[in-house]
Amino acid sequence: LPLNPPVGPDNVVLAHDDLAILPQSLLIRHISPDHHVVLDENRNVRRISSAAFAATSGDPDFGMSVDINQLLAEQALPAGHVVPQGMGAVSLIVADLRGKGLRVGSDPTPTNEFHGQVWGVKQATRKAVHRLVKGWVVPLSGVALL
Amino acid sequence: VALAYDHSYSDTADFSPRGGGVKRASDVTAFSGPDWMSRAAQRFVDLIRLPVGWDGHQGHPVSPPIADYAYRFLQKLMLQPGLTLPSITPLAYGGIMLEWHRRGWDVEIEIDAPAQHHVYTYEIASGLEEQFVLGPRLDRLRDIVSKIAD
Repeated sequence: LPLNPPVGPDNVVLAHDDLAILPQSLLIRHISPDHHVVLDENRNVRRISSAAFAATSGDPDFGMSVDINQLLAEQALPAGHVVPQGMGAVSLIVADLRGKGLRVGSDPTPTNEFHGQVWGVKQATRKAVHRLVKGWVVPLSGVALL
Repeated sequence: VALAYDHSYSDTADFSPRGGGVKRASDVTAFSGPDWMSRAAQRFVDLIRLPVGWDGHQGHPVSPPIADYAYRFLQKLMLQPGLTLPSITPLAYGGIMLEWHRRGWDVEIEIDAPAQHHVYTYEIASGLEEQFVLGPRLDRLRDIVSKIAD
């Protein structure tokens, strides 16, 4: 890297697929213990809701926020470096997401230079994204992934 | 699922089927009704008061019109005898998900705008999975809800 995401006239990063983000790279999605964990009576567990993988507000390209571990690793920072205190986090593999037709790119923010997006996470895709979760980065005690 | 409201509500409560919806936390304390209603009302109020970034990324609070609609919609669903209160989860763009995982079914209803519902169902025994957009008539949902009720 460096990554140079394309920017629109309003200075918003445009949806793109940046091949500099390697297929085996991990993406980090934060999980709120208060709002993303549900009781599953069928499986007798508390687990992550697929609601945790919703696109962020107002993005016409259905972008879902993530941290790009490849950027963190280049600075020798752990995958959970920007996960807020008290939050959990899970990982997704870039190649798995691209295999579903989703695009992955960087979208740095003033508070998170490692921030990226997975574009194309519509309602029907969210379940598939949930099933692609590789594992915990910052585990929530007693909470199952699926 | 009957579509008519047949509960008794406080006329002074803003947060009622005839009222203006979720506007203030005090609406909840003024509300009178079954216990599940108070719990649901408090949950909806909490969700519209979420700070931007509540999800650790850039998530937005639940939109008040969506919370208001979801609460009214839930009232209709809860007319089904034996139905338990669902998990009420916020979506980062400001929508709401109502979800049950019980009696061998996963049922998730996403509300992304008032009167816009996307339904996901999964029957564990058969492996049958379905996703559909729910129209203004809730007939299709009646069968599903009866399956997850006690």
